[in-house]
Amino acid sequence: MSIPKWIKHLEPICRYDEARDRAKWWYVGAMVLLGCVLMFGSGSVADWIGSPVPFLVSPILFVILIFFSIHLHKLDVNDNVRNTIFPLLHVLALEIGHNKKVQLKINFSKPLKSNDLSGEEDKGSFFSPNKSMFYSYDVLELHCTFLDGTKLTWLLNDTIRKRKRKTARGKVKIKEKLKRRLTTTLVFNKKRYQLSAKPPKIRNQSIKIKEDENKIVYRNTLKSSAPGRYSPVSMEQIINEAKIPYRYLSVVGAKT
Amino acid sequence: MNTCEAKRGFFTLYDCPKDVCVQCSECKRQLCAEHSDKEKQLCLECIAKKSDHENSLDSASLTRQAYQARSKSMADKRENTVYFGSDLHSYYSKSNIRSFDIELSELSELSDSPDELYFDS
Repeated sequence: MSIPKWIKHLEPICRYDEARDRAKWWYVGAMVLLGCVLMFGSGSVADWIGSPVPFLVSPILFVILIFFSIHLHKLDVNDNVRNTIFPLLHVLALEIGHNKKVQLKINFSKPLKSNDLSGEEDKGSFFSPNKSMFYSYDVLELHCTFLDGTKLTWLLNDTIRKRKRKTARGKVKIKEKLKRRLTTTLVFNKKRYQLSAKPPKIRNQSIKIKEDENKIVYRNTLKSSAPGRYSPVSMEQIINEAKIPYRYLSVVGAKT
Repeated sequence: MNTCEAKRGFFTLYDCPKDVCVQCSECKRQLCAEHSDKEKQLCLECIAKKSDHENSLDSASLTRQAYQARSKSMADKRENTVYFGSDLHSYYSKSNIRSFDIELSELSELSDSPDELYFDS
């Protein structure tokens, strides 16, 4: 699908997410207020009309509203779609124009349920067992071709580790950590580019460059970690990863 | 008719082949309809320079943010942005840009080659 089509497709989802995030705290406040009104109001209403029905109905109504809010919580869209992926498409529109196709795979959901976590691993001694559970998902997978014939692939993967630890005093401590892996692959046409410098070794990055008769393949994996389940993706960092390889290339068959 | 003096691209820059229809009142460049705002008589890059960071989902606002990101990247001395063309306007800082005299049509030929050639390994 072309970039304008992707933007048209994603815009309502991003607008929904924005409105939902904005209304989230209002909704919590309204729920607390409604709970108080139902708790204190239903008794006096029941007393006034001389029937216990409002007193019995109010807790049921409150439980229904709680279930409804849990359902709405599940419908939440990953904030990285609105804050990073959507603006990123506008950046790519400058590079590849409006007609070229972009292959895009987005994970809209957040890992919310404990069922999402899998791959249980036991560690530690018999008396203090430690448990680690993992959940891995691809936030973004993007393939496109630039105007100069360079093929770009971005793969953004998040792995959440949930570690359960029992202390000597018998308390259970739970810690969550997010490990992020951004893999950028650029395939340059050798008719246009040639390697002019060797990339230096950078911490947390593994740059691999392969060459054959037709192409130069540049692949960089950037690793980062953050506490918790969610961490915002930096658009600047993603863009930068695709910009870096141009530093080590020169153009073939052109007057400078 | 003259062609637009704004540059296309983000990671690499190219000449815009479209015809001129307006002049930017700020930078005095001749621009096509795609790279200008006719009502404001300004180019998109000058508008992006003037505007603050917005947290909006509007297409125009996000395009301005994309131009801001491009200007920031081009200002970085380490990047040495590649430019394919021969007519780099004085609006762009030449010290941070590597110019190569190649037409966009020559580049487009390469971009049309089949994907299998690149992604086979």
